[in-house]
Order: sequence, then C-alpha cells, then structure tokens
Amino acid sequence: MDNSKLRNFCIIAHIDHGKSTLADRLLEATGAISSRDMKEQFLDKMELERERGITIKAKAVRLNYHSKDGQDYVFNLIDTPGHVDFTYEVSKSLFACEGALLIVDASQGVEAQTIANFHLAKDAGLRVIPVINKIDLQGAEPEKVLLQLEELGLNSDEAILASAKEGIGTDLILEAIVKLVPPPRGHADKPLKALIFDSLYDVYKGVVVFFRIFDGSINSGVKALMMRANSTFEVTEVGVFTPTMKQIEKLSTGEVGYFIANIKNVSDIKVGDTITDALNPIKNPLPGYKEIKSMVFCGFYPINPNEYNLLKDALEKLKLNDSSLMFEPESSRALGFGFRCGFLGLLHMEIIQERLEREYNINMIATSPNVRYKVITNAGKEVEIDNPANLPPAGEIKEVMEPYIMMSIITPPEFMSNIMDLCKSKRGEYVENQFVTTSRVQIHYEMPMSEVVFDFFDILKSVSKGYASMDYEYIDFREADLVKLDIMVATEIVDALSIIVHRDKAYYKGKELALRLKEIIPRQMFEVAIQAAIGSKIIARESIAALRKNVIAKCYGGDITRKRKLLEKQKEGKKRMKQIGRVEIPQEAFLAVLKIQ
Amino acid sequence: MQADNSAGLYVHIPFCLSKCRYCDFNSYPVSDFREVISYYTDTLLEELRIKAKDIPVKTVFIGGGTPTVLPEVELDKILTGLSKFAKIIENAEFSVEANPGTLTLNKLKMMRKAGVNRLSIGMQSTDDKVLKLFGRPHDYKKFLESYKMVRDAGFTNVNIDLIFGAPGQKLSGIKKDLERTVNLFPEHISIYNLILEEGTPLCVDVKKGVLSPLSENLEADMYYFIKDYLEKAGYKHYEISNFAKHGKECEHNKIYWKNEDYLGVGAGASGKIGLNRTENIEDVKQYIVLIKDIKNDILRNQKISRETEISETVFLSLRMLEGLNLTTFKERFGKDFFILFEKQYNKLLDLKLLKEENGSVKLTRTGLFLSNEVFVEFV
Ligand SMILES: Nc1nc2c(ncn2[C@@H]2O[C@H](COP(=O)(O)OP(=O)(O)OP(=O)(O)O)[C@@H](O)[C@H]2O)c(=O)[nH]1
Ligand SMILES: C[S@@+](CC[C@H](N)C(=O)[O-])C[C@H]1O[C@@H](n2cnc3c(N)ncnc32)[C@H](O)[C@@H]1O
Ligand code: SF4
Ligand SMILES: [Mg+2]
Repeated sequence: MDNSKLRNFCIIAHIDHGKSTLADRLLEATGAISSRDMKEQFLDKMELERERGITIKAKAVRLNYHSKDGQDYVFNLIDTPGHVDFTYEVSKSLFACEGALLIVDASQGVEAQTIANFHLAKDAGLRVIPVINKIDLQGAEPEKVLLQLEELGLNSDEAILASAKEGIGTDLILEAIVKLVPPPRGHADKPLKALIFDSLYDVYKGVVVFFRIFDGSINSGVKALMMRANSTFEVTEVGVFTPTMKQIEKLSTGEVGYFIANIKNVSDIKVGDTITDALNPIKNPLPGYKEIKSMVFCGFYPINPNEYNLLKDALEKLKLNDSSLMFEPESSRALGFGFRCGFLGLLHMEIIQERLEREYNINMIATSPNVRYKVITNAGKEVEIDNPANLPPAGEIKEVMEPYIMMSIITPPEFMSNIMDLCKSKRGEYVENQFVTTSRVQIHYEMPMSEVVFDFFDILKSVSKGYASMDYEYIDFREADLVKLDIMVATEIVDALSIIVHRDKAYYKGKELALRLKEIIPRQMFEVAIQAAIGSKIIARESIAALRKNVIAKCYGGDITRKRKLLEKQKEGKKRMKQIGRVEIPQEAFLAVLKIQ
Repeated sequence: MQADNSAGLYVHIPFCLSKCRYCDFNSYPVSDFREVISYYTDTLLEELRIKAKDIPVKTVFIGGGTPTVLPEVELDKILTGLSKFAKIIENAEFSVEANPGTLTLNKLKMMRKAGVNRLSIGMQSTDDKVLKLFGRPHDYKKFLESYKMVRDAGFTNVNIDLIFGAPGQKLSGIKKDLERTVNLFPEHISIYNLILEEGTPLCVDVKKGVLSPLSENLEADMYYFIKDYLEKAGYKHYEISNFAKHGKECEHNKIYWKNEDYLGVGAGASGKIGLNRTENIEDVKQYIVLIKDIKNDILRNQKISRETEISETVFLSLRMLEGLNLTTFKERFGKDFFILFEKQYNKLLDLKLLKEENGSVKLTRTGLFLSNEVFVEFV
C-alpha cells in the first residue's frame, strides 16, 4: 500500500456538536455503508451510546475515497467522544492520526472541550481542520464562530461550513482531508513498530488488539512482541474496520487495524504499549501514553458473594476496552469482598457500572463515589485514602488534604455572576476572568475536586440555561477541615456508606443523607433506625416504620399465573438488595449521597 | 398430582350491569353486548362439550362478571347445557355469583331447580357513600332486597362479598359493615382489601391525587380487626380473605388453593389440568369467532415445570390458614418440604412470618397481611 494515499484523522469536538453525525455522512459518501443500512450515529453501536445519544468509545473505520484529483485514497477515521469523562479516549486516538477535524456547533460556538481537545490535537502535532457544523440551524452564527476560531489561532480560511444533518459540506471535507492532512511517514521495510491504541474482548474472537503501524508491516504468522508487557504472541488474524471487522492479508506502515492472537491473559495487553516483531525487534518502544489519574473512586461489590470472580473477570475484560478504568481488590465489613475502582468522572463510573450489569450480567452495588484524599498522621506518615472507610481515627490524624482542580468555564457574559456565585458556594477560589471573544468569557477558579465531580456540571448547566461549558484539570492537594461521616443502619455502621465531607457541610449532609436513606430503604418487618454520626456524636436520626402490609387480597383460578409473575417481580427487586445485618438495602442507597446538593 | 381425574369447573360470564370503578375483571357492560349474548352462551356450551367430556366435575362455579345479569332464557340455556355436557358428580357444590339488582324470583327458582346450591352476592359495603365511590349500580337497600329474595327462594348457603380500605374509610365504617353483615347470618363472608388495579378509574383518581389511599397501617389495623370480629362471631378464618361457618368453606375455591385441577370455559377463563395451564382469549367477540380452532387460538397454553408447580402449590396452600400439610406435600411431590426449602423456612421462621403446627406449615398472624414477603421466598 502506497503511504501517500493514506490519510489518518480523527473527529474531535465538544459534546453533541455533531461528530458522529458527520461520521455518518463520510461513511455514506465513501460507500462504506449503503443508505439502506444507515442509521443515525451509525458508529454509536453500544446499547448505552444509543440510549444516551452520546459517544462513549472512540471508533475507527477504514474508508475508500475516490478524490476529485482522480486518485484513490484510503482514510482511517476515528470518531471520538465529546464528554469530559472520556477525554482519554480522544488523547489515545490522536496518536494514531496525522489530522483532526475540529467540529464546532454553529449555534453554540466554541465551548470548553472545543478548546481542550484542540490543544490536545495541536500538542500531538496533528493538522487541525475546523468544520463549522449545524449551519442549517435557525440560531447558526457561522461568522461569530469563525472569529472565535481565529482567536484560537486557527486559519479561518480553511474552515468548512457544514451541516452533517443535511449533508452540506461533506464533499469539501473529504477533499480537505486529502489536501491538508499529511500522509503518514514511516518505512515499510524497517522492523515493525506499532502502537496499541485500544482493544476489546470479543466473546467469539477473544482479545482483539487495535493498533497503528509506524514502521514495518504485520500479517498473520508474525510473532508479535508487546514491548512493555514483555509477552509474545503469534498473530492469527489481521484486519481492518469497515466498520465491521474484516480480515485482510497484511497491514503496512501508516495503517490502522486490528490483530488477533491466542491471548489468554487479558493483562498481557496494555493500551499504549508498542508492538514489534519478536524476531526482528526495534530497540526502544514508543513513548506510549501518559499514566492517567483516576478522579473518582467507588467500591463495586457483587450482591451475591459467589459472583466475586465473575466480577473480577468482567472488570479485566472491560479494562481491555477501557484502559482508564482502574481497580484493585478491597473488602468491606458490610459488603464483603469487592473492588475499589477509579474513574475519570461520574459519568464514566455510571457507564462502567451499567456495562458490567448489562454486558456481564452481574448484580452489584456501587458505593458512594469519592475523590482521593491524603492524610498526614501524627507519626508523620503520609497515606492516600481512596475509601472513606479507611480514614484513620481522628486522634491519629495531623492533617487531611484534598485534591484541587483548576476549573475553566466558558460562558456568555450574562451568566457570569450566577456562575461565580456557584463556584464560591463550592469553596472555589477565584483566579481570573478573560474574554475569549466579545461574546464568550472564560472564568478560572481553583476548587476542591470533591465539589466538582458530582453535581457541579448539572448545576452549572441550570444556572447558565445550558450555555456554559466546563473543563478542569488536577493541580495539587491542599489541607482542609474534613471529617468522616458515618451512617448507622439499625445501630450498625455500614462502612460502605461512609463519606468524607467538609466540616461546615457535615451537619447538613448527615441530615439529608439520613432522610434520603429513609426514602430509599424499603420498610422491613421491624422498625429500622438510621443515624448519621461524626465519630461517636450522632448528628441526625431518622426511623423507618415497620412494614405492615404486603398482600395479594384476591387469588383465584384466573389470577394464579399473573400473581406468580407479580411475586417473581418482587423477588427480582429483592435480588438487587444487599442484606446487611437483618436489613435489606437496595443498590440506590449507596448512591444516595449523590442526590444531595 | 391428585388421586382421581376429577376437576372443578369454572364458567365465565363477562357481562355486568355497569363497570365498577375498582374492577379490572374481564367483564363489560351488558348493554354493549345485547346482540351477541346468545352467540356467547352457544360458544360457551360448545367449549364445554369439547372440554368436559370425560372429566367428573366435583364443583361448579359460574362467575363473572355478573352471571345473573343474563336474560332468563340465556341463564336457562347455560344451566341446561351444564347438566347435559358436564358430568357433575352428585351433591357437588354448585355456586353462582349474583349481583344486587339483577335477580328475579324466576331466575332464582331456575337456579335452584338446576342444582345451584350456593349463591355469592357482591355487597362490597353497607355505606352508600362507599358504594357510590366504588361505582356500584346499587345501594345498601337494594342489596337487602336481593338478599331477602335469595333467602326466600330457599338458598341455605350464601356468601357476601365485601371490600375494605376504600379511600376515606375509617375503622368505624368497617365495624358498621361487619355488624350489619353478621346480622344477616350469611354462611360465608369474603372480605378483600381494596386493590388499586392499574388503569381502573379508582386507581387513576388516586394517582392524580383526587383521592388519597389509606395508610398501610390503617389497612393492617382494619384487617386484624375484621379477623378478630368475625372469628368472635363464629366464622372460621380459613383463607387470607375468606371466612365461613362450620362446613361452609367454598370447595371450589379450595381447589385453586390446593393447586388441584380445574376446567375453565368462557372468555378469558383459565384452567389447569396437571402441568397444563390454559387461558382463553379475553375478547368476547374473538372468543366467539375463534371457537372453531379451540385447540389453537383461543387457548394460551402453558406447560409449567414441576418446580413451578411446587412453588405454586406452596404459595397457594399457604393462603389457607390450615397451611401446607407436610405429609400431603411429600406424597404429592416425593420430596420433603424442609429439605427443599430449609433456608427459606428458617429465614421466615426467624422473621416470625411462618410457623409449623400439627404437621403443617402455616402463616403466622403477622404473616397473613405480609404474606407476599413469605411467598416471594418460594417463587
Ligand atoms: N440541526 C442539526 N443537527 C445536527 C447536525 N449534526 C448533528 N446534529 C444533531 O446534534 C445531536 C448530536 O449529534 P452527534 O453526532 O451525536 O454529536 P457528537 O458530537 O457525536 O456527540 P458526542 O459523541 O456525545 O460528543 C444529534 O441530535 C444530531 O442529530 C447538523 O448539522 N444540524
Ligand atoms: C369475581 S368478582 C365479581 C363478583 C360480582 N361481579 C360482584 O361484583 O359482586 C368477586 C369479588 O371480587 C372483589 N373485587 C373485585 N375487584 C376488586 C378490587 N379491585 N379490590 C378488591 N376486591 C375486589 C369484589 O368483592 C367482588 O365482589
Ligand atoms: S366488581 Fe363485579 S359487578 Fe363490578 S364490574 Fe367487576 S365483575 Fe362486574
Ligand atoms: Mg458522537
């Protein structure tokens, strides 16, 4: 394959600006999908992606394009997600590309992830082509957006006006890819050097590895060496995404594809690892990806203790497909054996939880999420705490520190004061304001991460009528007056319900939490007390009255099948509850803290 | 499995004077169906002829809907057809559901002559306000007239249906209902806690907030008040919602609760023979049209597994206060109840919802109104 006819690019943007819809048009125009088989956001195949209307996983597709210059080209397109929690998917994809289409919604203009993703692409050395999308909308203001792009340092002459929905601009985009995105460099005759940018576990095929070749070529029979994992596999199949996996004979320099080998141990494959030929290896691996830091942690516990190994297996397989998922075993007095998992955000956590339940059929409990704290003990030791239950007793603590982030919010000026009030109420410290354009202000605050990762985004949206967008990055740990809030159910502390909160908010949170739990925990056969405590001091108390009625008053011949189904449904409900002591606690109880503002 | 191949027989009449506001039974205002009634009764008898061939019938129950809303000729047709096509054994219990305002002396005589020996009358409440809320087409006075007519016609085994737990009802209201009911000396009383069935006008009103439902606490208090009151009045509490004078328990319904065999004919009627559960199509007109394909289309046949039969037998038997007899269980299924359900039983014993007494497993007093908590453990 001739390198000069190859173009590798990704589509990046703020959430919902139309990446996947544009991908649809490119798939159609290049004949990858017939219009008969087309459905909206074709590449969003995962059930969760379709339900939520967002992209979660980056997806690669190979397209054949016959250009106006008379030549045939091969494109490798990667559609990426826009939500902050999945930024890692974007950064991973960038390394497989030479170019990026930066999509901007013509009615929304430049938003926080437009800027963040643009910088990521620029830093990765990608040629960025701006596309102003949704020009069909009533509220489209392409001229304003052009200005905003220029202020970002992009060449507005290159910007393409498009409507992915109506197919406007598709031809121009395809031609711009040919003209502006450089072909990959590298040499087919050098030893194999390829980067793993993703992988997945397929029930039929086993582990499938997605990679981009920088030098050399690969075909079945090659002994592939994973340089960092230091493991070797004989490749049994190589192929490309059309978008379905299609086996081909060989993949060469610059190309993007997958390989399958008899990989038993899923931990042998690490995203970011370098593949080389074991018989003719290169010396130094590619730099790979930056270690990612989990922002949010929670415990996952199987409701049925016998499913611990199932959960472990599922987490390992999911991690293949999502290297930003972290987990390690832990145990809880209340919940038994499970895993402490780290995520990039709350949506990420929610998605992983749902995938485990749907794709792996595991009934489990997710405990309330928290950030990672640092504790300096009186003995001078420094410990990192990612599970509130592990906070040492107050007497041993010299100082507790919590992570801070730099928050960047982009908003039309009229919402500035609302937003600043919000940041202040979340213990934010003002840094600066600057106008990005005349109609967009960027506000910076330093804030405790714990105040941000939960409901901040939802509130931000509501105080700005949906106009503001945000992005943040970790800065450092700072001392704070933090305490552990324990919850007792029927006089027993349920460790999985403990949270770490700022002392000023502890009283309020304790009260609210007890109240929520009272609503969530169903009535039991006896009265159940719910108490919130800091150390030995009870700060809130609620009680759930005993259940007195649960009966089918009428049951005759015609009712039996229906009534049995009703009972089966009640039983299903019970299966989703965890028995702690004598009390049955539903899954939602452990996430109740999220419902408190 | 039972010793012989005899079965109960249920006959469904899907017509009523009007639709009550709480009711989600397969029944329709008779005025909408005048012209099809005779086709319906023909169809019903045809189904009976095919199904009841060689099966000795030990109880008959004509229910609804409101069987007594049928014109006299149609009622007569069914009663005659029954004696012709069904092998009803001698002295079989033979019940008909009768509603106030639909009875005539003639109908009553006809029924007596055809062997009907038990009548069940829906009173629901003695409070006209409640009857109105329920959308019943009669008041208490009308009920009394019908009840007297039934007694005058010579029926000596009569049931009265009641409902408790109407929105706004107080314990004193129930007390009044009970006093009045007991003073009529019915042989049998069914008294149901109101079920807000999805989609019924009453349920819609509650969901909209037009009516507020009673608290579960009050309903539980009412339930145990009723139990104590009727037991003191000489009724035996023999099923979650049923009370009877000595020897007057409803044999037909006990077939359901013992999970024994029964035939069902008519629109929407269910039957069970061995491990086969059948359910006729509910739509009246389709039922009539489809009778030709009796083997296929009007039946939703479901073969249940042995495990399902066991679990159904457990939760149905436990509805009766006499409970589940351990010896009978072992004889029927070849397995020991305690071996099968040790974990479940111990948990429920611990929660004081279940107990063992005289070779049977039974609901405790608390367990009665919490019986679903028990039953879920067995499905
Ligand atoms: N009017 C109009 N709507 C569009 C256009 N392109 C996309 N949309 C709509 O915008 C919404 C988001 O489109 P997607 O393609 O899913 O956006 P995305 O950027 O892939 O979103 P994420 O992957 O979640 O970040 C959908 O409702 C699309 O139908 C367009 O050109 N015009
Ligand atoms: C099979 S129904 C029909 C009997 C007859 N048509 C009548 O209404 O009197 C038998 C009894 O079930 C009870 N019932 C019907 N719907 C109910 C509900 N939603 N909640 C509680 N009991 C109900 C009533 O007491 C009714 O009399
Ligand atoms: S309660 Fe009885 S009378 Fe009322 S609609 Fe239902 S079946 Fe008919
Ligand atoms: Mg998308």
